Amino acid sequence: MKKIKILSIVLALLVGASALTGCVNNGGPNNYTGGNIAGKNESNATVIKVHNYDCGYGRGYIEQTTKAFAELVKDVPYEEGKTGVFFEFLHTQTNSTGTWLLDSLENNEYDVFFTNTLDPSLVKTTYSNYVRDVKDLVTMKSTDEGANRFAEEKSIMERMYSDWANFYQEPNGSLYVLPLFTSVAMPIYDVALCEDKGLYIAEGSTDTNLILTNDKSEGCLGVDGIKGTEDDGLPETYAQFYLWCDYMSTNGVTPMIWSGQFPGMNNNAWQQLWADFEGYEQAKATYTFDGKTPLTNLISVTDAGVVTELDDVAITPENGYMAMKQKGRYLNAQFLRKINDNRGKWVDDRSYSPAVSHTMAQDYYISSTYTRKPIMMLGEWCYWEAEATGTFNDYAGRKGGKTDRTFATLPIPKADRSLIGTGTTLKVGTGGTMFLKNGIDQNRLQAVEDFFMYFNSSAAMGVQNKEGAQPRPFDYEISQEVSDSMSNFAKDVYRILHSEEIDLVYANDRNDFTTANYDYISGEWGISSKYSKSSDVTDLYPLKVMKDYNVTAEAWFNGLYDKWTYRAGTAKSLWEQMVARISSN
Amino acid sequence: MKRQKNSGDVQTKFELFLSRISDYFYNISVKLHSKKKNKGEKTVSMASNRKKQLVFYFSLVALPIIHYLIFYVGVNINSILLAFKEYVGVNGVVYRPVGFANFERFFQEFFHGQMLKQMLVNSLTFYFVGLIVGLPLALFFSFYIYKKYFLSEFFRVVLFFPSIISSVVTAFMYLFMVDVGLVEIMAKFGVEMLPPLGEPEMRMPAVLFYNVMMSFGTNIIMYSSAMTRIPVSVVEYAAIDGVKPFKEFVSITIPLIFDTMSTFLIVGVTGIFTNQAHLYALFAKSAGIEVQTFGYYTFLLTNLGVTEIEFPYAATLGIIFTLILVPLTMFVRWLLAKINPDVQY
Repeated sequence: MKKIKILSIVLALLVGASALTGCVNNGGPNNYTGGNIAGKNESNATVIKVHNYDCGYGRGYIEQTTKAFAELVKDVPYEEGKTGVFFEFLHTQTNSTGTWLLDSLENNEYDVFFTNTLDPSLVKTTYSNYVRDVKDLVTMKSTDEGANRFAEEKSIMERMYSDWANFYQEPNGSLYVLPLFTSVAMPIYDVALCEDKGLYIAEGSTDTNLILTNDKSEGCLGVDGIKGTEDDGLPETYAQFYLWCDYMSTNGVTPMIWSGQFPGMNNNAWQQLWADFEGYEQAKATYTFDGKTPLTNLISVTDAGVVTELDDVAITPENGYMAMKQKGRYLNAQFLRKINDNRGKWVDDRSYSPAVSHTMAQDYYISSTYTRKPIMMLGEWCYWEAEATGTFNDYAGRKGGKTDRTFATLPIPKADRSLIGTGTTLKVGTGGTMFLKNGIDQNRLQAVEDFFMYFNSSAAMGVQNKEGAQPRPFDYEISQEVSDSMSNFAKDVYRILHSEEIDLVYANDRNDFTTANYDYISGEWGISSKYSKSSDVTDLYPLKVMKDYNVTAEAWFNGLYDKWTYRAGTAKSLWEQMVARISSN
Repeated sequence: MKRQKNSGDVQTKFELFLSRISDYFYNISVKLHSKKKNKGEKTVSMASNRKKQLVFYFSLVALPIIHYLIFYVGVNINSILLAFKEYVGVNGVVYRPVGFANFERFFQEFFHGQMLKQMLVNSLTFYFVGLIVGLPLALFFSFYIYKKYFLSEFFRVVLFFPSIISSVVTAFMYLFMVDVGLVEIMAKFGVEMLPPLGEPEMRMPAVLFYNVMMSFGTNIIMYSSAMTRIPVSVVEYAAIDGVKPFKEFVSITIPLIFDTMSTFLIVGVTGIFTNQAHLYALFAKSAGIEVQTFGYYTFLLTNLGVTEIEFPYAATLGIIFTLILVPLTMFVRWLLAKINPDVQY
C-alpha cells in the first residue's frame, strides 16, 4: 500500500512537471533574447518585441540587424530613466503566418512582425485596425523636416523596386506590409564540380557537339553572348543543356536532384524557361490583365505536336486564360519532358520519393561532393543556402562550409541560338513580409519607428542579404566588408537580382481580379494543369505526372489552358467563377 | 487462484482505507452540524437546499455548455451558412450569398468528372480495408493479449506505440523505412529498387498498410479492455468443456464484446468522408489522385493559400457528406442492433 502511494505521488509529480515544461525559457521554445548575452534587460533599456516566423531564411538577418541597431542607439533615451533598446524575440512556427497570425493581432503584445508573404489587400481590408499604416515612414527622406535619424536621401518607397511598390502600396500611398526578400527559384549548379571534372562547355561547341574544359576562361560565351561574364562555359541552349546532362551522366556525375516531398520547388526553378523566353512585357501582361499589352506568342498544339500560331490577344480578366497558350509554356513543357525521358540517367532516384524533404535534398546535394557520384544541379528557391546552414556547418571542418563551397545560379538556357544575347528575364516573387502593430504605446513608439527605419536602410539590407542569402527588392549596395564575408552563391543571387541586364517579372499584380483570386494567381496560375482530356484531375507537378502517368508535353501544355476553362457539365468553369467575383462589384 | 487471493487481500485493506477516510469526513460533518444546532441557526428548507444544489450543478456545467454552444453549435451553424456563400475579397466585400451554386458545382463535378469519383473510391477503399483487414487483425491481437499468450505484453506495447507517438513522426519514420531504409537494405543484397512510394502503383498498398498499422493502437486497447470484463467463470466453464481457443474467440468472446464492436463500427461509418488516411503527413500537398480521399481533399481546400477562397466549397462538402452519412449511420446502427446477440453479464 505504501509503495503504491509513493508511486502514485511520483507519477503525479511527473505529470505535473510535464504540464509545466512549456514555461521554461520565458515561455517560448526558441526565444532568443538579442541585445544582451545574459538574456536579461540588465541595462534597463526600452523593450522592443519582435515576432518572427522561424523559416528558411533563418534568424541571422534579424539578429544581426537588431544587434547593430542596439549598438547604434545604446545611448538614446527613448523612455525616461532608460537608454538604448532591448529586443525580446519570439521565434516560432506556430500560428505565425497568414490569417492565423493576423487574427491574433488584437491580443498580440508584439511590436514588429516578420512573417510569410501576406496578401497586402487582405491586410488592408480586414486587419488595418491592427496593422500600422507606415506611409509616413516609407516616404520619409533625410531632408524632410523632423526626419527620422535613420532616414536616407531616398525614401524607402523610392528605393523599392517598382513592381513591388505597385503591388504593396495602396493607391492613396498607404502601406501596411513591407516585402522582406526577393524570392526566386533557380536551378543551382556546383561551380567547383565544373572545374574539378572539366565540365565547362568550351568555345566552339555547338548544339550537336560539346567540347568540355575545366577552364572557365576557355568556355563558350554563355546565354548573354559576351565573353568574360559569369555565364561563360555554361549551356547556351536547351540542346546544349541536354548534351551536357548526357555527358555528365556518363562521366560519373548525376546531373540533378530535387525534393520529392516538395517537387514544386524544382518546377518553379525550371519555369524560368517560360519567363525568359517570353520576356518582361509578355510575362508581366499575364498578371496585369489590363488589356494594354497584347500577347504575341500564342500557339495551339495538337496531341501529335503540330503547332499553330494564334492571333495576338490583349489579356483582360474575361479572356485571361489565353495566357496559358504562350509558346514559352510549351517550350518549358518540352524541356521537362526531356528531363523525364532521361530521368534514369539525369535524375537522382531520390527526387521522386516523398520521403525526401527539401532539407534532405539539400543535404544530399551538398554532401554528394564527397561521394563517388556528385550531383551537379539542385532545383530550389534561392534561400536554400541559408536553410542548409546546419549541413554546411557539419562539413566546415572538411573545407565544406558555406563560404568554402562555390555554388551559383545556372544561367537560363535559350530555346535556340537566335535568342542568345537578347537578355534574361526571371520570374520572381516575395519571400516574407514585415509589418508593425498598430497602437504601440507612445513611450516606445519612437524606438520601434527608429528600428523600422534602420531595418529598411541600405546598410542594413546588405547584411540581411548576406544572412538570408536572398536580396531585398530595393536599391542598395553591399559594402566590401559584407561582400567579402558572403558565400559565392549569395553574391551570385545578389548579382542576378540587381543586374541591369536581367529583367525581373514580379509574379503578381494589384488589381481587383488578382486580389479577388489571390490564392489562385499566386499559387496555381501557370503551373497547374488538367493534363488528361478524359479526366478532370489537375496537378501542379509536371515532372511527377510525366513519370507516373506518361503525360506528354502536349498534354501538359494543353492542360494548362483546360485547367481554367474546363466545365463540368453545366457548372461554371474555374475561370468563370473567378471573373464572377469581380463582375458584380 | 493466487491472483484471487492476492486481490482479495488488497481489496480488504483498500476497503478499510476508504472507510477510514469516510469516517473521518463524517465525523467532521457531524461536528459541523452540531455546532450549527448549538448556535440556534434555522434549519435550511428543502426548497432552498434544492436551489443551492441547482446553482452548484449549473455552475459546474455552465462552462462546458457555453464551450459546446460556441465551438460546436455556433461553428456548425456558421459552416452551414458558409455553404451558401462565395468568397470575394475585394471592395470591402468578403463573402456574398450565391444560393446553391456550391452544391451545383459539387454535383456537376462529381457526375461529369472523374476526380471526385476517384476520391469516393479511395475513401471507401480505406474504410473497407480497415473493416475487413484492420478489424479482424485488431480483434485477433486483442484476444492474443487478453489470453496472455507468449509475448503478449510486448505486442500490447508495440501495437499501441503509434498511438502515443505523434502521427507526423510515425509518418516520417514510415517514409524513411520504406523509401530509404528498404531501398538501402535491398541494395546490400544486390537488388536495385526505386523508392516504392515514388511509384504510383505502390502508393495505395503502402498507404493502406500504414493506415492499418496506425489503427491498431486504440482498437486493441478498447477490445482487450472489453475482453477483460468477460466473467472468468464463463471462460473457465468453456475450458472445462474443452472449447478450443478459436471456438472461444468466435462463440464466446466476440458475442460478449459485440457492444464495443458496434460502437467502433458505427463511429467508423461516420468517418468515411473525413478520413485523411494520413495522406498529408505522408505526402504534404503532393499526394497523387490514386490515393486522395475526400478528407484529404477537403483539408487541401482550406489550405489552398492565405485567403478563404475555397472555404465555402469545403463547407458545402461537409453538408453533403453529413446528409449522406446520417441515414447511413442510422441504418448501420439498426443493422447492428438487429444482429447483436445482446448477451447480458
